[in-house]
Amino acid sequence: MIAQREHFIMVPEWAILVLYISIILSLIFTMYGIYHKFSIYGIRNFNFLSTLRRKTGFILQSELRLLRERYGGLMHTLIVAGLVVLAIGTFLVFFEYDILMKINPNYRILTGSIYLAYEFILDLAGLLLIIGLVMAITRRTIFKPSRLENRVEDIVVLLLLLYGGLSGFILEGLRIAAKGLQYNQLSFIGYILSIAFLNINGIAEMYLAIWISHAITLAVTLPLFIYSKLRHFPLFFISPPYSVYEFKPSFSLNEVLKSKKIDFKVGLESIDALNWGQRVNIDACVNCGRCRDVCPAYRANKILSPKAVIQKLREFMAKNICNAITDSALHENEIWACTTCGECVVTCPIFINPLNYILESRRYLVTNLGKVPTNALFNIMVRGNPYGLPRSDRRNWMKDLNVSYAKEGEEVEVILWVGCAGAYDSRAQKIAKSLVSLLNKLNIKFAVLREEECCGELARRLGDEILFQEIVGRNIEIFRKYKFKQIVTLCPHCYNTFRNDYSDFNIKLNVKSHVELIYDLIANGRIKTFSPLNKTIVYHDPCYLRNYNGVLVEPRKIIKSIPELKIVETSKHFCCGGGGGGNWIESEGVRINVQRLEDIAMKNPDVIATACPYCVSMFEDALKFKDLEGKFEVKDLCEIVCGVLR
Amino acid sequence: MLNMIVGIKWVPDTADVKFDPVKGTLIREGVESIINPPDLNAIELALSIKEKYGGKVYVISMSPPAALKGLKMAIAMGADKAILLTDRRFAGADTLATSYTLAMAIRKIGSYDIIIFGEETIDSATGHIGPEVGEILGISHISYIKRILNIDLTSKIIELEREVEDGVEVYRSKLPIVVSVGVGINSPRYPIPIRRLYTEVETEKYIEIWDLNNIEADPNKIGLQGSPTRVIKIVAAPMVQRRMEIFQYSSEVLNLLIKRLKECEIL
Repeated sequence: MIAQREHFIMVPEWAILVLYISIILSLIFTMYGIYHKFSIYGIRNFNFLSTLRRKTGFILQSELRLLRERYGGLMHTLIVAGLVVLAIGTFLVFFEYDILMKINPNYRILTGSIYLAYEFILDLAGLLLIIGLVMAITRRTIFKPSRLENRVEDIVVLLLLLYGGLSGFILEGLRIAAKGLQYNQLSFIGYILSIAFLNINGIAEMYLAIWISHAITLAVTLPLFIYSKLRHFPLFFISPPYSVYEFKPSFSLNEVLKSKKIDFKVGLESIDALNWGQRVNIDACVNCGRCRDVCPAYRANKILSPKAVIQKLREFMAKNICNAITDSALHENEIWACTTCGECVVTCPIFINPLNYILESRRYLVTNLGKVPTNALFNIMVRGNPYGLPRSDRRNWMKDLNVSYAKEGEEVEVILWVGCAGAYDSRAQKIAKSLVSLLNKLNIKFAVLREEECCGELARRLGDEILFQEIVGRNIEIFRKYKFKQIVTLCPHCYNTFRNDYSDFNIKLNVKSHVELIYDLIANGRIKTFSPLNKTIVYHDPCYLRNYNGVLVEPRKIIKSIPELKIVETSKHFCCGGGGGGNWIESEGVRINVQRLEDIAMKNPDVIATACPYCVSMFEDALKFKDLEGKFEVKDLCEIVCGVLR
Repeated sequence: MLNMIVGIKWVPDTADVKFDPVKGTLIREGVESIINPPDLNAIELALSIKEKYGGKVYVISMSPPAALKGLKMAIAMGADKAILLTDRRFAGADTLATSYTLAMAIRKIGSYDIIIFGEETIDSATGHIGPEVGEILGISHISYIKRILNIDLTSKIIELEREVEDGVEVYRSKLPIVVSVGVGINSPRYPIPIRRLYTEVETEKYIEIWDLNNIEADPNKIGLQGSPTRVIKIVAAPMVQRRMEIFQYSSEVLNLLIKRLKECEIL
């Protein structure tokens, strides 16, 4: 006799009817849920298939993000693997019994060796699911990480799935105990259980009761994929994978000035301003709090938590509350506490982008209402730099240096974009000088721009889109005047804005950070050897290199190419607190830069290296605050390289 | 309802203006202009009074057309209307002729309760305009005021504090009044970006451009003709080279210090 799936053994007709009715009810309920959700999301210009295709490619990345936290990642992987396999298995049974066998009772798939493999794989999947669920329940009840709240749905979902898994195994055990199927050792869990069930009475009644409850569990679980946090599973595939660059211009200043019509809205005024993708994205949040754990502002006890931002928006969306977001859902201090480090965005396993909603709220507050908690923007508007220092002082740093200005019609290899920090901040001027001396030593033809002023980065992160676009227009005109191979920046903020923000304005700039330039110079042999430097170093990644542009490997390779220099890594990356206007906004309480300095100081390095003038100034301030001046040196990577260049 | 008029000046950013010691002139080439800094405080004061007591804020400036940029910024900060007084015949005015022109324009606007100026401009630093406008209009004027204590809208009486070197003077005056304010009495707000764009796109809705014909002024009292002041020459004040030494305290050092001071004929 061939081994094959036997359908509905030990189950009376009426119980089968119960199954079908509950499944049909469940499907109706689910369909209504889908309809309801889509009415919240609103379907507008959304290419469902392309997102689905694109997103499928993100599964691995999502899984890797989950596994950054080993316990939680493993737990989730087990549950999702178990569920997916069991769902496929259940579907195969349905397909065979309700479709194939209705066509011809001899059409079967679950037969012979396929069936045996099926039994084994499904038992394995069930086991994985149960292990994962037990891990999840243990975590929620015993380990209790602070970022997890136990809401009703969290518990209900876990218990329901656990009951589904356990009852499935018990049913299998009872079935084997009663009928002793062929090759039943392959259903290894069911087989083990069947041994325990062999000598009990009333197997048939027990089987029926559990069978019905198992069927109802299935029927109840299905709609939970819409109505509970399990919706993140289907939504994962249809929500756009938002990255840190998602912050796009909402209008074109040039067109407005040409058409003389202002018919656009700026920023996140209310949830009405959210588009399809954003709504799906927000609704997918399961409240896991991974973003909260990596948020530097949250760590410093600021009012901001990226998880709370998304959850509050979600609630507003679900209840269709159309109040101004900045009055009700989000507090202004919450919006200004963000350092825009992007860590939440690169951490979220389902690619939600809390940063985007914070920046859009800033846009609303600043562009429409002029509410900005710093003079930096006014200074940029009036004097072209956030410090508010005179334009004519911009060149003071280069007075005694061999630096020339770019000339029209003369091509240079490198345009050195100094940035406001490099030009005005006395500490950052030293970085600019070291970069100049490096370029000079290596005979690289470079020039600075006579017209250089603010790049606009701060205007964009602080939410003045109009000022930003004015600056972009001005700078693009300047760039078009000169011929150059590449722009080199010493500030990652200028770098990122040229690279990612300017690309929305029909200009493609070949821009490199000074770190990438040095890396290239080593790679192509223009820098040959360094003198040894017997020191221990911690390299602090500037967020705008690490999270925004993936410049992670280059700085470490540079450090490793310096003989005797030892690099130590901190256990986790955190922002220095200087980004997104953090350098310009006074905040009360714990200082983000001091906390980050403490992380680094624990590794006891001689030198704290970084590659951003804001980070340097943040750490030097933190050293003063902690009275640790002189204990650690804070250096830009470029200064270190310049010091050991032969 | 109060009508407030703020006088502003569009001035070269003096931090960037360098002096040419050979020619004895200021190098203004390539220097960007800004709203005279205390004028921003004047605008802020007017806007905060408007928020508290209600009313309208007019901004007025006598200048070549380049000052439009400054007036737009004032509108973006929240002013209701701006008037640019621009006419070749206004050129060459000293503070008296300027004050007369401004006063005539203010009279033309008609109703006014509080007229606010920045205490002085960074490019000429006379501090004349506020008091002179008050005199010409024949109303009270109080300079260097620190804050408004109260405005009684029915009796039209204002109470305010004036900053003096060794304290604060409190005044009560009937409206209308001219006041002038210094940098630091408040923090000027950020010009609302979207409003800035609106003034750019619909300039004529917010800004009126007036010339001599609009203000019914005596042509002999305006411009160069109406200015008794003549600038004969500009000289650079020589920079005094200061000497500095830092001593660690000890009796020996104290004696050294006394010796040094005697050498410099200070003691």
